[in-house]
Amino acid sequence: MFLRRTEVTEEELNRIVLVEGDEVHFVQAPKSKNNAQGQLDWSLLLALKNAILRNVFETDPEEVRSKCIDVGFYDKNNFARNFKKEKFKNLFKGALVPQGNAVALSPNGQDALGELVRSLAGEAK
Amino acid sequence: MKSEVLERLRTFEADLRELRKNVKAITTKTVNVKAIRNQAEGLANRWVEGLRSPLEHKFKISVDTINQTSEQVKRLHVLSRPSNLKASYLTTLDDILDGFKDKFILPIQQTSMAVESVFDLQKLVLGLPDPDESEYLKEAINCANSNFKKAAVVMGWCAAVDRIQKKIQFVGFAKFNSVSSQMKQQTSGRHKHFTKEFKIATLADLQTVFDSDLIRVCEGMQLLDSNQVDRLINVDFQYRNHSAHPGNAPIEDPHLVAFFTDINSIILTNPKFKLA
Repeated sequence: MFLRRTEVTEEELNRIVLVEGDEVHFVQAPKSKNNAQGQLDWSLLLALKNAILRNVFETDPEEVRSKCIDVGFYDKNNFARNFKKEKFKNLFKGALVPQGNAVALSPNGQDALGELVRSLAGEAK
Repeated sequence: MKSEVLERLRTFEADLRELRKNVKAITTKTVNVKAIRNQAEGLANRWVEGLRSPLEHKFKISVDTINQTSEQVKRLHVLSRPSNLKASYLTTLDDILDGFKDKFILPIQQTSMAVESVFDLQKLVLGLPDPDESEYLKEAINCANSNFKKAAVVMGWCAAVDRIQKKIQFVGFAKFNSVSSQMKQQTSGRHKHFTKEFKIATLADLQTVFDSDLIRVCEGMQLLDSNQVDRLINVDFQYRNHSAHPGNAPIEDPHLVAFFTDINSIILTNPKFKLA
């Protein structure tokens, strides 16, 4: 469904993720310009990870925090505020709130994820 | 990293027990004492800010354990609001503390030093170039340090091939083309089986050349000697292929160190592959 909607190909997906058992590794990570963009990019990519593992395009805000800390895109003071920005709201079916529940990607979010995957796959060529 | 996280875990556990003791001592049915609620909120924050990420990404504690504890911590966070039941606090704290040492402390103690030192690749492979010089190398180092060995090898190989291509561009494609012609014409000697002749005009053309051919022509260009070429093609390129294609050949810590030692010494820090 996602592949059809976004016209992302399996080849493009395989260029950015490596699935080993129940682990999804991103071999091509976003080179986001700043922490806010990094938080947004990883929010989308973690939805992709959950779709691969559990067939649901949804993102847990604490999973995002954990990943952002790991990859160096964590801005403690603005983490919650970033989620409230319009571009975030537009990409998810509800508000992402620290310590809150996982939220599904909106159709716009799936499109944005498609674009991100294509762009990362292009960089991986 | 290991000892620091272990220390953080031990303090976290001790403070959870302290909070439990404080809650237990309350005589009312609900918890309204601000100091105790702050203590609960502070502990929840410590999990999300300082513990979950290294446990999940550096020490690879199982996803189920991470998710289960994160849910329990979310409950603790909610409970830290006013007038929640003492009994709910105690249940939540007991859930978090249940098997805490077995779930977190023991697995980290048993990681030997793998996470702490084996994959600080830049320490192990001395003289690796500045990772900012190449996006591929940067990513390879990040993968290696995160224990994604196969991904690290694939990206490391990209870093090496990227440098070879840039060097050939620097030297000039005409030289590459003429050397490949000379090698094709050889009927005896090391290159007698080399049957290709390239007409490369752009970097994009060069990117279509198979890695093994690229390396062989580098030998013809005297950028590499025969032993270096054999090592790159027969060992390191194989590690790359075994990492990128499904199969049972292992890629473990020693392979990773050997691979990066080779590409570092043969390509990345080899003066013949300097770009200036």
